[in-house]
Amino acid sequence: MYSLAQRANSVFAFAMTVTFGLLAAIAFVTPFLPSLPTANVDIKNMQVWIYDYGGSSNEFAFVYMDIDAAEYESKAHDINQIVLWDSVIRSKEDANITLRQLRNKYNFHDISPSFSGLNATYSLHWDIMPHVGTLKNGQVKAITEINFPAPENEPAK
Amino acid sequence: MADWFEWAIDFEGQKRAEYLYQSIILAFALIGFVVGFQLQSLLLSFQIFAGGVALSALLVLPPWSFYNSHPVQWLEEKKNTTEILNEKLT
Repeated sequence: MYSLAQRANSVFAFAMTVTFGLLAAIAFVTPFLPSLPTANVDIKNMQVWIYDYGGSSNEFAFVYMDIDAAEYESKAHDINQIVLWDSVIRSKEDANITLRQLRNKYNFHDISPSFSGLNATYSLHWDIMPHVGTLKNGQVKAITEINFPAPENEPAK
Repeated sequence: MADWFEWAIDFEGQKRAEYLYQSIILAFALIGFVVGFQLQSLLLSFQIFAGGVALSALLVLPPWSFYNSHPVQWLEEKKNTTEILNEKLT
C-alpha cells in the first residue's frame, strides 16, 4: 500500500475477488427467477413421401405445424426422438414466437425405411441458457399419438 | 521514471486508502447486484461494478494530499561522542 504499484495490485486483486463473488451470487439466484415459458403446438397437416435415400427408398414425413420435437416408438427402438425444428431466442423482445404452417426444418425419417403403423407425439422443448447460472429446461406436449399417413407416392423401382 | 511514479503515501494514508477501496468496491458490487437483479440485466450489474472499480482506482492510486497528512515523526538526532566531548572542552 506504500507505493503506486502496491496500491494498484491490492485494488485490482480485491476487484477480481469481488467479481467472482458477484458472479457466484448471480449464479445462485438465477434458478429462483420465475421463468415459465408457455407454448402451444398444433399439427395442421402431415404427408409422407418416398425418396431414394442412400441407395434404398425411404419414407420421409413432412409436417406442417408449430412444433419442435417428435417422439415415438417403433418395433426396433423404444424411444425415437427427432428434432424437427429449432430456434435460438436471443432477447426478450424476440421471445414471443407465432409460427403458422411451419414445415419441419430438419429431415424426418426413421431408421427403418417405413413409418407405416407408427404414431408420434409432438412437443415443444425449451432450454434456458443464462449468461451466468444453471441451465433450465422444460417441454410442452401437444397432441399425443398421431398416426403417420400412407405415402403419397409409390416407391421408385 | 520509476522514482517519479513511486507515489508514496504515509502509514495513516495507507490505512485510509485500504478502507476506501474495499468499501467502494463492495458497495458498488452490492448496488450492481441489486439493480441488475431488479432490471434483469447482467450487463448493467457489471457496468456498475466496473464504475466502482474505476472510482476506487481514481481515489486510491494517486498520492492525494489526505494520504500524506500524517508524516512520520522522527526522533531527535542523537549527538555523537565527538560533539559531546567538544562541548565539554569549550
